[in-house]
Amino acid sequence: MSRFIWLIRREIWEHKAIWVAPAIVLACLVLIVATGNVHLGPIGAMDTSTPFGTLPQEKQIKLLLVVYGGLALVVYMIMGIVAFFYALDSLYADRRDRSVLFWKSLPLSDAETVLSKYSVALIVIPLVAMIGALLAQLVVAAGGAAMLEMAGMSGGIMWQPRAFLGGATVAVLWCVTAILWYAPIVAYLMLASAWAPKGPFLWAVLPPVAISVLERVLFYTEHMGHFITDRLFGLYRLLGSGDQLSEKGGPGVIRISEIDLAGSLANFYTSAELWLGVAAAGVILAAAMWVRRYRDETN
Amino acid sequence: MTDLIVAQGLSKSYGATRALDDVSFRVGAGRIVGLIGPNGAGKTTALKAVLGLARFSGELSVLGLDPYRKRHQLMQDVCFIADVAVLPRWIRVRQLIDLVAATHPKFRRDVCEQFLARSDVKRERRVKELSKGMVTQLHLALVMAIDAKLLVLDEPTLGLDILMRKQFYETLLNEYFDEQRTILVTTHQVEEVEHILTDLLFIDRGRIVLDAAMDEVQENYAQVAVRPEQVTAARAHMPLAERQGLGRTHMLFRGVDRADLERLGEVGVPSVADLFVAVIQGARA
Repeated sequence: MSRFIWLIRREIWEHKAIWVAPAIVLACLVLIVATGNVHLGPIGAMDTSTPFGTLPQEKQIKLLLVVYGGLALVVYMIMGIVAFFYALDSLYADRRDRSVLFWKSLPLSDAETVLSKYSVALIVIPLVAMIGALLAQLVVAAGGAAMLEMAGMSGGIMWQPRAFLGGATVAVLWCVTAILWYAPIVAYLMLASAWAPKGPFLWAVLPPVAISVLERVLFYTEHMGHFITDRLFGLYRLLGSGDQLSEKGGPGVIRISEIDLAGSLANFYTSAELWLGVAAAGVILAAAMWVRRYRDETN
Repeated sequence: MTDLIVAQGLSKSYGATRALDDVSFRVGAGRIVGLIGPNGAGKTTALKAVLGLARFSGELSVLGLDPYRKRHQLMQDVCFIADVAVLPRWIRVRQLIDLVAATHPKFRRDVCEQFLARSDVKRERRVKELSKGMVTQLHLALVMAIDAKLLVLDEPTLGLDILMRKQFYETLLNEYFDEQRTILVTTHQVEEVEHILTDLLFIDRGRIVLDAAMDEVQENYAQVAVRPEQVTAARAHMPLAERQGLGRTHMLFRGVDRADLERLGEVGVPSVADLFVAVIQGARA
């Protein structure tokens, strides 16, 4: 087991973006908060002329949920991009520079290697994203509270449990659900990475895009396109927050506070789509291990 | 003497090219075997098969294991240095040592540190910041600290200057090699390994064209600097190769009685390079 942890450390040494990216986001946030440029007003459909401190508390809470949720969203999106490129690179970079010959000279099985990289993409990166999102929320809450206090108002609203814990819940929820939901996509990217003779990005992205386009041209249908979109964003539909996020207009634009958490999770964890995806991830990952192991490195 | 490697009828094709064509050989424990051949002769393919990195047909057993199926098990007892480019460039020396220590049960960190202490390799440096020579020293230090039964070297000194190359093999011979260890090496620079080899395997166009121990070679082959007046007489002994040098014709003979050869000129031991050229030309003719 300690060996596996060393393999994960190796990945973090090599791919510094895993911690540098969230660190930069946090540093920017701290800078913004420290310079006092926090504008809570313009987000959502709020009347920007009304100072935040003078709004009724219900509105303040809703607004704060948007802010906290939005912070988490930004961090997760950035880490999603990091995970995407990490997975694409994971089984290709060492083949490109031939260091795969060194790694294969160690008594490590290819399954172990693939699994360590998979864990980084699917578990370590989401965990880092969650911690990053929570820290971002903390920084903004503390900064906002300080600003309100300086303006002579009570900063306590920033820590109001429905707002602050609501935001934190969103951050945790995304982490625990994304790990399972994105399992097949990460496995697919790693298979492309293990297999691609060159340019794993194109090998990963072109086939699904080409199939969607062909389908559209030949059969006038969009099953593939829908399938891909659903695999990418279906998580939010299953959690039920998708409808609420896309609900148009009005200050009630987001009702994260009203999400039935237990209901959402139950809906998510009992959906056939999720578990079919997990099963597919297992098969695809096994294929990636097979390719990694038996790919001829003679050249 | 037990055989560490037993290869029987190994074949491997890339499209229409046969990289290995029904190759059979054995490598005994405690030997230093030079696998020597021109470019594209199948040397690297043969090594990849031994290391479990390439698929092949035929039978191959390395330390009693099928290398293709049991690669990661085999790597507990086999070390491998390809040319200097294979250490990951992004890693720091310290991290690399930590990783090998954590993943290789037969790695002895103190031995590795001892070797590195004698070099200019700094712990905090990244591999990409090191010179080629230092990367080789680092790789050699890692490998020498592993108590392996078989060491496979594939052009390990490629791109190094002559001093480094000499030092590489000296270190290997003086501080690593003993009766418990076996080395299989391929190289272009035959002259720098010939004095350390115990066995020769010549390979050309995917076939083994010579498989002999060094002492057999010294017994059976002779290089003669033939005096001008003896050239015709010498040719009657069917030399394998002939070349002109300062007033003498140098001829390479196999299996000719030594007394006969001494009448023709000064008899010497052929260099591996001369032998190689003669054998390859003979095989192709």
